[in-house]
Amino acid sequence: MVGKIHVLDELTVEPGRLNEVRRLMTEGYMAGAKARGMTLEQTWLTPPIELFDQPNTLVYLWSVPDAAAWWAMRGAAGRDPSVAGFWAEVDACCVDRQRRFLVDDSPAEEGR
Amino acid sequence: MSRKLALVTLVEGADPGRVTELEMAAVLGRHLPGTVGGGHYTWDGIDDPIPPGFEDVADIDLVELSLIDGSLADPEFAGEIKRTLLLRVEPDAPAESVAAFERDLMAMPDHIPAIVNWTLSRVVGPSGTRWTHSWEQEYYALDGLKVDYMMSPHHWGLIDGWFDPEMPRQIVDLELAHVYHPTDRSVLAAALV
Repeated sequence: MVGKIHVLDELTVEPGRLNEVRRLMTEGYMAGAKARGMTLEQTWLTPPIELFDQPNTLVYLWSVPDAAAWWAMRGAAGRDPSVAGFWAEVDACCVDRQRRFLVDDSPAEEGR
Repeated sequence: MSRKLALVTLVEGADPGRVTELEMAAVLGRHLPGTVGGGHYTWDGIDDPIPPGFEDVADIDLVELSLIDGSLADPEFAGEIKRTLLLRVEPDAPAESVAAFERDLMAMPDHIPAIVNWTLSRVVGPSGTRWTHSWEQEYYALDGLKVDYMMSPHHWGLIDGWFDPEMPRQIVDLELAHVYHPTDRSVLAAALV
């Protein structure tokens, strides 16, 4: 049984466009993601300082409670054409983008 | 060798008597609630020309299928669910992505034992059809589709990336025909023997 599912977005941004992508995510995605049941757990920047001649990667870690919530998220995004339009706008600022889905893989407790 | 399949949509307010006649005249699978985008019936093995007397039919979405691969794990399959997914891969999708997508689909039965018999086919006709692929399965129970298949991490965690508009590797159009119906025999056996 799969429990909590994490959604990891990695946005590798063209030099000079970090703030543009941050603004897009904040103003164009986060409210809709929350409405679709996604919880923003953490954001990161790597390398950990903005570069001027190489891309940086912005990492967003989201979560949904379970597989049913995952499908609810997926269905809502599929029914809203603005979501694909949003990612097209982000992709225009990026050299690469990946989304991965993660589940807990902690070692089982001794004796279980 | 190819075979044909059609999704049949009735006119609004179809006459119940004529609908019963229609159901008697052809091997139709009446779609269950929860199907999306494919009308009222699946007609496996439809012949051309379509028999006369179908005045209450609004649309017959016919496809001609050429088998890519499949498996007849249970030739004596006696029900109870046949599922068909008609989809369209975007015409500008890279050939290597299409090949990877097909490989991923055909690996699903290895991860989801509830899939009993299955086929993956290319849609090869008629000219002008919007569909490119047909992904069909048979299950012993509806839960095999609605729970084992839909909730498998292999499905939502891998396969769906080809369909998801939020994923960079999406190549499948959002408009799908996802239909399923009760059956008391294997529809796919004829395609696989």
